[in-house]
Amino acid sequence: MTEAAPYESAPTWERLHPATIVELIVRQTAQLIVAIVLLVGGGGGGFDAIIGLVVFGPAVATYLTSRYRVDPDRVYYQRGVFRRQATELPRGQIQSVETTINIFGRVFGLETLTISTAGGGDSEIRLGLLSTDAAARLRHQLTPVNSTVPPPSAPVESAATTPDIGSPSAADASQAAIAAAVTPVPETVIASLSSGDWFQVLRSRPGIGGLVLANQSFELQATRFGDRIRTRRGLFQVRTQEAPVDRVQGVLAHQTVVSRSQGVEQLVVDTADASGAGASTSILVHPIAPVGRWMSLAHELLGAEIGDLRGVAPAALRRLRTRAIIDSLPLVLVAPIVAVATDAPQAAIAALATLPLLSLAARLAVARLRFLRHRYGVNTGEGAQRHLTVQTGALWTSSLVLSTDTIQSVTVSSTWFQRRLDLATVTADPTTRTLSSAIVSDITRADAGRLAGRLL
Amino acid sequence: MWDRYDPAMTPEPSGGTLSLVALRLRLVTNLAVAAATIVALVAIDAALRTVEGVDVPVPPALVPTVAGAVIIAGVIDITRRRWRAWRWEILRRPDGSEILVVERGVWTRVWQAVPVERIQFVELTSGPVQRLMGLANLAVRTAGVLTPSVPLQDLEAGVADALRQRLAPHDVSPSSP
Repeated sequence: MTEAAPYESAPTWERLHPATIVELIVRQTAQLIVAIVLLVGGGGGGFDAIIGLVVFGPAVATYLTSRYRVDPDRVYYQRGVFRRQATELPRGQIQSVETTINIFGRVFGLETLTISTAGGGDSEIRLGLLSTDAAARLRHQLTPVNSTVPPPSAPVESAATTPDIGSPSAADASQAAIAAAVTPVPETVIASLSSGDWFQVLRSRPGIGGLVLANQSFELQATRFGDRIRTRRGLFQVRTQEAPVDRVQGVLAHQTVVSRSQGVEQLVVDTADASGAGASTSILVHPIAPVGRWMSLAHELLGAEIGDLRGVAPAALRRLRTRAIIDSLPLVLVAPIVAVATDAPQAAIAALATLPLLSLAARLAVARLRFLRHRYGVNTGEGAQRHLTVQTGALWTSSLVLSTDTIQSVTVSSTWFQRRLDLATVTADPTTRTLSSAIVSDITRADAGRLAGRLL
Repeated sequence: MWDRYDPAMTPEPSGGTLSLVALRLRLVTNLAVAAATIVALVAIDAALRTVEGVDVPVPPALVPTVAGAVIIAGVIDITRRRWRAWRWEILRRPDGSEILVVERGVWTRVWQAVPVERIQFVELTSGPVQRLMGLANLAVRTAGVLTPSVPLQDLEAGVADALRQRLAPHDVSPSSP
């Protein structure tokens, strides 16, 4: 199987790109400056040689001792002269493979590859610098493929005893990777932004948030090829993120008042290990997608068929209105007292009296909007998979779709006031923070029970 | 409250409420806090009366007595209501999988359901007083980010241990033979 595939050669120890030495030297800037000062300052002959050794020695030694190897079941990385460090990762546990191009990479046309597993923290390997070819080859070889992977808690020993990657599915995975590398995979472009779109992104979300978003989406390109999703973006630091589609936990769309007026929304997908290891990544897929694009994206990535969404119980409006009134009560009560107590002119008193009323009117309008925009639904998609869709918010709204497989627990709660109106709130607890707004509030208690039953 | 939404889901014989011992323990701890509050009230009342120029319009001992009675009655009532509202149950679905359900709360009623297969970790703890009274706490954890832990407090030690054994995650790793 290894000979047949161009990307799966016999495992050998390989070195990083020689330019790594330059990067390492420049990283040790302090040492470099000291060395230059000493060199310029004089001395000669043997002294220069010592300086040269001090400056270039460690970098060259680090480069010469850094080696990586990709076995059918593991990735090894060794480095260090006196203190040898060796890292090995079982390939079945690889969560994501990311390449970044930093400033050195720009200069030499090289990339840095980060292989991370569900464990987070120390359980990652950073290989840099690598030639673009080597990086692409490794990315192809190592990116987890759509399949059920062993949970991150799977004992390492078991992987070592089995001849292949440690689980049959992982073996399929590597074969699928080979197949993916050999046969052309259907590729769909989800988003492709040129640098000219930078301004439109900024316009869709004015302020600091817009700047951050615009910076994140510089020259963004999001593609789905086969069963993987990949985004590539960045101005100085070019970032490529790649994840298998079956690790996508949910799809989120954010809209603001401004972006809605321009007919665009921001799309984010959340990926995590299906076993719920807690390691999750949010991938910005499209900063200015046309409104409603989230539905088709949820269909493409999660297989969700989003049908009609239901509104919440009519009594919810009553609760939201009561809440708005209670919230603006202090202002309504205090303003007239202040107006009377102070010796203010007539016009000021009139203004002070209308202010709380305006605030109340605004709060009531927002409450109504919140009521109208809060919608939910559980839909059966391809196979027997179910998906929960929740839309929330009044001025800033978000729509999220998540697979019910990722829901860890369901809580139905009802306060005293909600019980009087026969209302309840259903909270689904997902494994990723960005999807934790999967809360359906103020539906009838009977509906809440039914919804909880469908989510469990 | 909501557990009858799905007729296909049948309650298992296992399930229960808190024991009388748990009520006793909670009453003792809560009344101790109430007693401390009443002592503080008495002290404030006495201190105010010694300050010159401050005229407390009510006869001495009235405030501590009335407030004390209200606090004690309130604490007993709330403790009893909470104790009565709390129950757990294991439901079984038609496909054989189980769901742990915990119901609690007086002002806000909460019904929390955790599929047993989602449980990642189970922890049993027991303090010195709890051990004396034969009680234990069980915490059930999932990988969720909002409510990673579902606490079951002051269970009878035997029940807690049986529940721990039943709910503890079993090895389902695909690489095991």
